[in-house]
Amino acid sequence: MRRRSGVLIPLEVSILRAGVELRERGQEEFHGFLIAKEIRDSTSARQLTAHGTLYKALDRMERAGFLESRWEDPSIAAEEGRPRRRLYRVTGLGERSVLAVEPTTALEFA
Amino acid sequence: VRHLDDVAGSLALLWARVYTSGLAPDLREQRRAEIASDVWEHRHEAHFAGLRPSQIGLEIVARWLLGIPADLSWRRVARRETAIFPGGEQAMDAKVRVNWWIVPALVLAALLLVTGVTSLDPGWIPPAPSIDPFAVVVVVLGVAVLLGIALRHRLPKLAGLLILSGAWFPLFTPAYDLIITVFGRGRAALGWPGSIVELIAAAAAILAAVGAIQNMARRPTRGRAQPV
Repeated sequence: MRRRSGVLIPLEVSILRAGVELRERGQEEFHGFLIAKEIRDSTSARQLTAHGTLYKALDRMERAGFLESRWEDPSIAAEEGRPRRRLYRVTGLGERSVLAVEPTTALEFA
Repeated sequence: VRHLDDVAGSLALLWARVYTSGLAPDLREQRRAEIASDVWEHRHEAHFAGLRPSQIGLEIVARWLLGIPADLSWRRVARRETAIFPGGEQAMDAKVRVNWWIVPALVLAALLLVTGVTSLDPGWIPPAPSIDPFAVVVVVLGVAVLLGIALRHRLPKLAGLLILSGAWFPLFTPAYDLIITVFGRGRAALGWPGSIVELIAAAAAILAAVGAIQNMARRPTRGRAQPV
């Protein structure tokens, strides 16, 4: 099914909500797996969001200005013995948009 | 011996290499690094939570398989927006377009074979048969899917039929649930999927069936399929 451009789908709304909630708990930035886990926990879903679905949504939302991302310092990842994380944060536009939308509705954006 | 979660992670990373091939280097490396990070975090978190490697592996395979349509759709958009690599990358793009369904078909065949072989001995008391005929059918379906993959270039129509013969099996329960839901009392009665394996099998079956039908429209070739 082809989606309409300029519409936030429920997964994208969930990502923004989870990102805002993480910020309220003191975590300004999040990586892909963390947000998948937050969405699963907050919606009582049985499965984590699929790789392709999640990263396609993150990519689209960054292009639309709802998220910003940066790659973490390689030395931090090396110190912890894991791959580098791509860290996302919800932008002001993203936060305003998700606060204005009802939980079950899609959101129009420019 | 590699644990199932390790194998599943490698499959997800291999798939990321396949569907990002031919894209602009920055985009390609970023997506591959992001999937590698996700798989590592998933395994680390699940090990910490005390999950068995087999459970973690199934979760990773489910996330990988269920995301394949989105990966292909993302790739199509990425190719359009960064169409600056003509030539070899176009050939790679065509290969991905023609062969993307083989991995799910292999997963489907593996699940059918493992399910069938492990159920062959029903433990019935003689004079009942010592081999479960239903399990034999499941093994035959697994072999049919493998044969279909092998014949996809030379006999695409027969290959499609062989793969479809195996693909219906994991979809039988969800289809039955759907019929019950639509024509029954308005809600799912059986609670499918019962397990993550059922979910993986159904996803693999759908993707393999779509790919096999797509492949049936191609002309037979002696070697590798010629991209359209």
